[in-house]
Amino acid sequence: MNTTRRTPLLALLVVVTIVVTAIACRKRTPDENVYTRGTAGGGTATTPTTTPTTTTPAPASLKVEILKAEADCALGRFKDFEPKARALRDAARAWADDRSAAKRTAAREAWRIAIVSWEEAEVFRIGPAAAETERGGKGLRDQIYPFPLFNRCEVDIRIVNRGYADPSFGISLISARGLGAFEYVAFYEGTDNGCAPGSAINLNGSWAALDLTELTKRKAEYAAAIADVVLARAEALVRAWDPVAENFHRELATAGAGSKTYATDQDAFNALNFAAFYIENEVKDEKLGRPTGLYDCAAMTCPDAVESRWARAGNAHLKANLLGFRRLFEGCGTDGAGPAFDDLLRAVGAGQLADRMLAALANARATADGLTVPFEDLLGSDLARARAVHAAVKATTDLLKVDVVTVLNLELPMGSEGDND
Amino acid sequence: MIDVHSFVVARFDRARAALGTDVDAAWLAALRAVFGLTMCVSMLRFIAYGWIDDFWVRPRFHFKYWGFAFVEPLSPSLMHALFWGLAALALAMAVGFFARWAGALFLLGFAYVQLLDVTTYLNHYYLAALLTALLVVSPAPRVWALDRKLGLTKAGLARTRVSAKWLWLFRFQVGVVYTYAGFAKANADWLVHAQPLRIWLGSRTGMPVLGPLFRLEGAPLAMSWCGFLFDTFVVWFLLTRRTRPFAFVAVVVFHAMTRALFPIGMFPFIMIGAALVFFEPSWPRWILAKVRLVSPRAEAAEAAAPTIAPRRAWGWALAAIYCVLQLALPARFLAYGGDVRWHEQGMRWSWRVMVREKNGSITYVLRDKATGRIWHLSPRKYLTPLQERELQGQPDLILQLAHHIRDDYARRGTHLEVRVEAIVSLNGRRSAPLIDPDVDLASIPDGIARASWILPCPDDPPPHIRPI
Repeated sequence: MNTTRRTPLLALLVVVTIVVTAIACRKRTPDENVYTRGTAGGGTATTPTTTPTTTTPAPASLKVEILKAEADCALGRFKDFEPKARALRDAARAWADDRSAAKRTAAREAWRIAIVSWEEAEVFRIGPAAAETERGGKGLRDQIYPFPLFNRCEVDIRIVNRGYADPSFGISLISARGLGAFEYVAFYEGTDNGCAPGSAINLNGSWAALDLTELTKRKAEYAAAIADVVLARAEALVRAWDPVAENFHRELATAGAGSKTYATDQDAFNALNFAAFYIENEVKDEKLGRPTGLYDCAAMTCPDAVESRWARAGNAHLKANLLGFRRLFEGCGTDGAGPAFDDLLRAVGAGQLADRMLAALANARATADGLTVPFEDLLGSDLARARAVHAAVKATTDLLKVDVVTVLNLELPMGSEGDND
Repeated sequence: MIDVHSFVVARFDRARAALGTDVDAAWLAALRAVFGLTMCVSMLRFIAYGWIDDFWVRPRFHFKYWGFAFVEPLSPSLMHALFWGLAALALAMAVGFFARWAGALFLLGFAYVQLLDVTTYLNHYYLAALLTALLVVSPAPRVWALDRKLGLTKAGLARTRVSAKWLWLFRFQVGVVYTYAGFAKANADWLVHAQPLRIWLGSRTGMPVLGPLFRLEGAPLAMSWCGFLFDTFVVWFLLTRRTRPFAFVAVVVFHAMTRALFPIGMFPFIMIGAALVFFEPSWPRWILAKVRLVSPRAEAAEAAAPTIAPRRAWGWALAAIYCVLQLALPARFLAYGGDVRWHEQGMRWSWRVMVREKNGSITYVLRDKATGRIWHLSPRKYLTPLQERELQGQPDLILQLAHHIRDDYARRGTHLEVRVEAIVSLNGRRSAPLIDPDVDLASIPDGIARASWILPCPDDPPPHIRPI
């Protein structure tokens, strides 16, 4: 009896399921798209998807291989920087001892070599290099080069009060030390300071009391003090990653399989993604967007915001940043060889997205490579070209933070989040 | 041959008869207790996780619901005090201590909190508000209430039986949630391409036990279909006596799974607790008798003197209107056309739970009307990370922030045109512009009308992501 009574109900449920599914899954006819304002932005919405035509089973160990490769790469970059930081320390000390033009030039050259290495390495802002609020973070990146944090006035105050000689200098304000402050004291030869006329060093005459010789002497000593701290932090960073020391390398390489820092491999990929956002925040917005007047600048351009304006080395830094990002995203070896995010994308079936990302990155690098005059000069002579670099990098970061993040379900570096549903 | 007419008539007669009876009120007391405790824990989580500061104190700008722009946060200390108060009220509701007042005040406070910022909207908060409202107007406060036990209220107000209509009203509410959640999954993304589940499972293959299963080729599709069938039909199996225990086990397993896989907070607990309304109304007595918390003598005494809440015809008319609204509101997306997951018009209050993975890059392009200067503005200039995350895929929020930017600059004497470059990906599709970049959003009025400035959803299928 019950079976007979339930038959209509069950039949109804089955029919409803089929009908609802059929209606819902059909392709919409064009006239059902009520939003009819042309195509969505240059036809990008109708171009082929990332659906692959062939499916190659990914090795189960791919994620492990990628994480190990990223760990190797990060350690390799930090190890590349360490001897250059040592050379910088030696050159700075030599300049502090002998304030000849030759020694200063040698110190400047050592800085140029060191910072290009660092600009490549700091894209791997993960683990001990990352902020202390992040997993495994020790804030060492900011200790070495806290860009965009730099406070010229704070540096000038320390020149006056010889704060650089204080034993606590290594833990003082990061905006008055690091490679950015080194650049200022080593490259800027003017006798003015960056403080307001009403500031203490200008009101009490302590700055004016420094003649050129004394000013140069103190700047050289300041540079040596900075280089000491930078080297110490570089050594600490290598030590933190080194398998024969604190071995953060293992934490990343064994994510989800014994790592105390990353409970799952996804946690590690999220951390790498946070690191990759360096080119969104520091490169696209700070190094390119702000000087070109596109981001957080109240005038048509903001030349003061150009990175490395005293050494006029911003272009080299930009290229190094993009190379570092390539190592992180495409692979650490020559020409992007080695397992990295692009291989992960291909393995999950998003090969076309990997191709588009690499093409966008190649275009950004080519645009940056095409810069033949210093960026600060370009702002006055060819703003459109300067903004084209920004646009090229933005095309890359848009793909990163929208498509790549979605397909790999990566978290955005956005701090705490609440519940979801 | 099935006689459809007689089948329908018989069902209608049965339903009418069922609604006309009285039932044991024990279920209502249990629902009040379970729900109240769940909400108490929920409020304590806000306090413990620092969300009060993150959501309502730290932001310098709050996204308002249309028509509720006047709702502003209290001072930080009062916001914290409010949540302690809400936790206490939820507890009072749970134990039946002046539960109608406690529930009403809880509803008032909770609704206020929800109205403060659209970015904190969650379906389960909306459900919590609805269930609180139903509990407040139902006889729940007078069933197994602590205030009665303490002699603080008139004994004559206590209830042991209630109209079956209350039972069916709650069942209807829970049924609407599940069924519309099921309907929301009836689309090609979910049923054919197993998206966004493929994406989500792909990041969870490292989970113990379950993780390796997610790597199986058919796992995302199988789970998608299970989710769809579960949501769409579980209510019917809960309503059927013979399948009810199995269906409830499925409810528990399903919600335990979703809790393990996704950060959905108290939603699973609310739904498991709410699903208890499908059991026989006396189920709490059965449980209490089993664990010997009540004596058979007391049970008999209560059964011998049944008291029932008075029936009010106008009340049931309101209930009917409520039911119609609950059916109509989630269906309003049909009036907008297009893909609701893309344009989001009709997305909220519709039980579209976990049906989309959306990420975007939003850049406001500002033009000074006086000088012609053009520059970019990142939403993070005004928003907290959480707000920015929510903004990315929700056009009405993008419009609202555009208006705020316009007004903010106008206060400083700069009059702007505000356009936006909004690149968005839905369920892994190739990213596409969400909003017409040529439209000056500063000149677009906010409202609930169809938004012509939102571009069409890409009609290509989502990618076939393989969890590895």
